[in-house]
Amino acid sequence: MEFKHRYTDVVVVGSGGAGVRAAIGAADEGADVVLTEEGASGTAGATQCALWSIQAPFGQQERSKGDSPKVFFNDMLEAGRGLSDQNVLSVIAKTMCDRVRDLEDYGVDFKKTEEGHYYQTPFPGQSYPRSCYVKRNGHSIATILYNEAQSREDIRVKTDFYAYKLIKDGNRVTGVLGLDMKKNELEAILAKSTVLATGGNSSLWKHSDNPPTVTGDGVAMAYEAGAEIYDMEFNHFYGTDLIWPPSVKGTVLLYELLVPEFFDANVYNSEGEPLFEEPFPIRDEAIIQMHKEIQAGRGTPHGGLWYDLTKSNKSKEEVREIMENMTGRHYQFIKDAAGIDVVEEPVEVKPAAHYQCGGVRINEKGETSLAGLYACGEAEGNPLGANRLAGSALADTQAMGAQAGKHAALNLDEVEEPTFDKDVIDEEKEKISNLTEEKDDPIRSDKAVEDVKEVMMDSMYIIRSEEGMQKGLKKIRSMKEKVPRSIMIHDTGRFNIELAKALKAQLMIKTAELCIGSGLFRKESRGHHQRKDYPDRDDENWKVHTAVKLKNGKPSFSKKPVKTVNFDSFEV
Amino acid sequence: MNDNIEVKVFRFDPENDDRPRYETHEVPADEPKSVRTLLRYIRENHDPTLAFRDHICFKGTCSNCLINVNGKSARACSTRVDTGETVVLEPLSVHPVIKDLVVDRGVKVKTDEATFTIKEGTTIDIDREE
Repeated sequence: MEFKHRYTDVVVVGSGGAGVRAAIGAADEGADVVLTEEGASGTAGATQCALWSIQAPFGQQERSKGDSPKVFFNDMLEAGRGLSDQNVLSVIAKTMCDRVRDLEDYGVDFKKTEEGHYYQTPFPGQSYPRSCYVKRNGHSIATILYNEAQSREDIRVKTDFYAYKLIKDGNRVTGVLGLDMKKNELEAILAKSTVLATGGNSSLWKHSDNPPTVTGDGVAMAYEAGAEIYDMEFNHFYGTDLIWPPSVKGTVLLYELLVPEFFDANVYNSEGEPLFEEPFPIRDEAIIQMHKEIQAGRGTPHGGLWYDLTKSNKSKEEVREIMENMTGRHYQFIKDAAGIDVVEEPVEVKPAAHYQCGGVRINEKGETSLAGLYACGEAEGNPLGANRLAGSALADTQAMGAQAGKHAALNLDEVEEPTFDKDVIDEEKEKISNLTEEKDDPIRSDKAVEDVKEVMMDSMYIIRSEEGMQKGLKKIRSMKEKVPRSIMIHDTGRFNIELAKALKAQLMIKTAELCIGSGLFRKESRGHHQRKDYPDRDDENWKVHTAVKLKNGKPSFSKKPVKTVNFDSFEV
Repeated sequence: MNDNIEVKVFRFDPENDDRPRYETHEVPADEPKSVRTLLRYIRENHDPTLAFRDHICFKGTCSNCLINVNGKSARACSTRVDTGETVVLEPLSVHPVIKDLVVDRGVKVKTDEATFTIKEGTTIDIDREE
């Protein structure tokens, strides 16, 4: 396999909301930036799927007067159930208004009131209405950000590039190695600073509402390179994701719209009984209720529950109008892909993996525990804690994306030119060439990927147990041994998806091991980690981060303190 | 009556083939299926070397899965095929083919009016003096 290498100041891996914002932040400081994306130009990530909008504590409109960065900080802190790193959280709270203004400068059209204030709506857990409104939300923000990056001379985008390994020189990260899918070449992008913006890991589970490529690869890459990882046992599920039919499995139907103000409907079991009483429980409580109902045998034919708008007290026309205004795109997609009008018939939904709460440990500058390595967005850990408010993930991409990008570009004159170890490259070339050799008991890379997803569904779904997790860990460890030796792919030259999946499967196995191991380590229930055998929250022993690091070839788990700061005096 | 969906897929490897060919795959179907579901079935059950871009946004907006379906560009994720039908799947016709249904869309910029490819081809060269 051919190998090429190139140089730049800053390389950003991942072109979703956080990655693109980091690239812009680095370019603003005068750095040359390469922004890599796993797929085609401008299609990356979960940002464009975001249904609600971005939060910022402007406190301008009448009903938001009294809002401030401090109130915002406290709201997010409360939601985080005690595990929020306050240094990073302070950055989000203090800089969000500026980040929204940046987006507006780039061309995002935020709705304004007659007085010219940002139009902001209330949302669960927010003390004041602070959700900004953009038509087509995440999709608009992602597209406009990407366009802004494209317009900068100092940012070069590399598409269809599967970055899968960090390059090191001694203890410093000096770039990223990846597969150029178009040319079928290995390429190293050497850089003085590397920023991981690889998103979350929700497609590690078989039932997920994330793009299928979002499998936590950045976490596995950072872990392999020796970085400290936080809180991988906290996995946020979303309740009302479609489970049937296959062409729309994983599509989101909004739970928050079931309330009387909107659809005035409910989720129903197999006997037609509604699940939720008013006021509708907040997310993590709702999914536990749904899960228990399904476990009790009162689920639908495909293992879900009924999302049934036909039972609404409102007229079909009213429901349809709300559907079209609030989630027009989804509604149309489900009609196109499956021929189903969700206003006219009940559909089966089941909680699906939605958001990675933990990630690569960072400080308030976006620095990880490894020199030369930064992280931002869903890939980072852990300012939002064990649970988060809706809308805060999008805010995080902009706040920490800008911060990590800026710091990645500062003081680069003091950093040596990046180098790499030729032996490591030769090893990789050999590993890849081995994949095409005949094997006695071959595994297909597609199958390896699906197997990990099955194990995660079985062992790390909503309510975990010692037995279930141990079983899952055993399977993952056996895959860790077997899969690298047994994967067999065809050598099809360019755009070899089997090869990309073979590399991805090996990273997925590593990330899965960190998740399950963290789940076993934490002997309590808190936020998005719930254990049958330890059902209560235990602040005395567990108000700490679960940290994991590579030691002697194995993950080594430990408790690390949650960072607290004096918000008022903390300087960004 | 045969309820299978007949899928004719364009196959082409620019490095090894002189000309493209069309393969026919039968996909069992009790109910209508989206094009994406058909492609996944073929890759998982018939031929793992079939190259196509999978879904990302899963709500019909990101355009990652765009291909030509029966001669017109369409999103594979939101295009439905009925049982018993035949469907022809080809790459988008305006871009160079990398492999099978995957084309080189270069680096895109979207304006209010349209989407433009501003940098064609493969790698962006950013070599510096070593």
